[in-house]
Amino acid sequence: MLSIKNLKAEIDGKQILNDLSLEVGAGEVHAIMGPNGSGKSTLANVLAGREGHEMTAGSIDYLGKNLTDYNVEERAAEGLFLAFQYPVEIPGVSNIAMLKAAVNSIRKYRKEDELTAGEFLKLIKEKAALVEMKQEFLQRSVNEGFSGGEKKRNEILQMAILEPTLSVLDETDSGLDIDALKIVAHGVNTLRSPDRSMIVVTHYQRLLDYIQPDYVHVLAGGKIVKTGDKDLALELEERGYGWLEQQVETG
Amino acid sequence: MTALQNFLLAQERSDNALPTWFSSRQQTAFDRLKNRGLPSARDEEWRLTKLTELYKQEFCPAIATNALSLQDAQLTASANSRIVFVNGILDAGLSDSSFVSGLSIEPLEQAVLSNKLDLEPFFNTSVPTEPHGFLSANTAFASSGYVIHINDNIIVDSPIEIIFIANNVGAAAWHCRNIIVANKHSNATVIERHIASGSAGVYLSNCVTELHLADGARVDFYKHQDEALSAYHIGGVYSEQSRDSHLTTNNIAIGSKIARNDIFATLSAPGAHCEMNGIIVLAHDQHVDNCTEVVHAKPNCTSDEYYKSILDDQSRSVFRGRIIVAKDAQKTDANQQNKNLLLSSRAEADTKPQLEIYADDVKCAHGATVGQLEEKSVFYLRSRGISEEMARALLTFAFANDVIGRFRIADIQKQLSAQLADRLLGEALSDIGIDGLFGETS
Repeated sequence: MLSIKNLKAEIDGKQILNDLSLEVGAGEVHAIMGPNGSGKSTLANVLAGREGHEMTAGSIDYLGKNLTDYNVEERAAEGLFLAFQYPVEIPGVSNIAMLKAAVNSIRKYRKEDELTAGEFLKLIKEKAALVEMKQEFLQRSVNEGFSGGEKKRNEILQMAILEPTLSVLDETDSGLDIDALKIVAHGVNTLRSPDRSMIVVTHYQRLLDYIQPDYVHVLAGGKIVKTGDKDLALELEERGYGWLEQQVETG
Repeated sequence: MTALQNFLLAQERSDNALPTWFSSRQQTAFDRLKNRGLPSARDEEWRLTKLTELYKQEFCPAIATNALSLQDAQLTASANSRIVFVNGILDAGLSDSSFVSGLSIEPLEQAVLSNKLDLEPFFNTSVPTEPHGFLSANTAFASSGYVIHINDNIIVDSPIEIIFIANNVGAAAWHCRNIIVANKHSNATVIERHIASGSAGVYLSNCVTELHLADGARVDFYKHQDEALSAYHIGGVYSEQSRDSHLTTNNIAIGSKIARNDIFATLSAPGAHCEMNGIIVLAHDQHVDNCTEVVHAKPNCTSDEYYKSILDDQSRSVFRGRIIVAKDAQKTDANQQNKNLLLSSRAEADTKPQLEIYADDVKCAHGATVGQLEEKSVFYLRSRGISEEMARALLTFAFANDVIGRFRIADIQKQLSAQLADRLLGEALSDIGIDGLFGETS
């Protein structure tokens, strides 16, 4: 599904990703862990096509297409979804209006008919229930005045509605209490399917108790330095990242 | 020939035998205009609004045109009474006032001549004592306009709509003068629309509205300025409020080449409250100058001013917000916010808060911002599959939305949203429709 080869990327001329390679197959869940500043969020943003995140070398193949040929909204329409580490507050635009605009924009891109008002409301209701979001949140301005947990649930709601093929969850667990974490994880797990893949960027092993990954990668110094299964996450929880970073430096 | 001579030549004063109190005030204004002339760039209050081109025009008095019909989109559906002026002249055929007991809606000249209402205390009494040239000209030449008089305790349920329409008009000028008198504990909504149809040239609409609110009166006033893009609109909304009265002036400025508007409120007795909302949406080389002033003359009055402008291309908006708190106006609570969104690097916003506070126990807050759309918000929306164009459209509307949300009439809210949608971004928004577009603020 996703094949990243020898990716180099920089922000403001500063190199962040250095020769990163990653293969994600259909239906797989990959966790990416790593210390602060290792490039986890940069990877997520490069995939989403954020401006200022410049790819200087390497390739990103997504479903047989060169991802960099697509702009931000086209990537979304092609089934790529980024759950933001810091969801943006947009006063004056209702959650439901944004979702409607998003759903119909994507359907238009795919040359599908727009949803009728009734179909759309049915979809929204069903998905809002999945992340235990009250109806009133749909009428509220996007993320405005939402608590940290509500913002992250809102990200998962958007993901559930857009039904992406590849989801990138950028530290969706940070700042969540255990109840919110369970709701978020439940939302994510419901979306798991053999033709959907996920990249879960996280700082903490805790999330992986609830979203069980097929692979765990450690990102350090802008590249993947170790890959394992979920036991690797437990090992990291115990030993920290120091031993891996040392390996990179000496290696 | 000087600009003033040019201007004066073109104007006619009424031949009708008007009451002495009225004609003497007109004469005083005319003399002042002759002595002081029209504002120039040397006047601090007019420095940022260049009228050189206007002064080169030879304006003739307006003439009435053939019958025209108004489109639904230009009307407020919920309005029960309507007065229409075409090129500054009353069009009785288009006007339609349903009878409401205790409410009188009349053309100015008729109201002054019939003398059924005592208008002497209300004509030219809420305006500044040192009027600028256009205000003097309006007083001197006013023969047209409307008078709305609401008796004590009368609640007028449906909005009263006044339409000033410029229709197939060249370089004409008109000076309409309007008076709204809301007596004790009365309640009304008045919508003024300034629009154009057919071919409209370089005309000047100089339109002044005076509002007088007695004890406990509530008036919700809208001025929707959507003049032709070749036109000049100079205007003023001057109000005086008595005890516990409540006035909202909603200023929507979308049209004209150059517009200048005074929005002055005087809170003359304790408990009066004044809300001033403004939304200015400009493009091309449009220029709109809003000069606002709130005078807190007595204690325990409140004012809340919220003006926003959205500026594209090389348009320019000027905002002045003067708040004067008199020495004995203790416990004043005054708030003023002016926010400007620049959609183009060539657009310009000037914002100038001026607070003069002579009392010592008051709460006055003010803020002014000039900025652009936030790129992180644009990225967020795009990452959900929304095109960049639509993302910017949504965010621009979101900016306007909280002002529009302050308008109490659903008709107006909806109409304005639709107009802004159409005006600013046409297709981008028609794809998703504007119903339910805007979020409720928490």
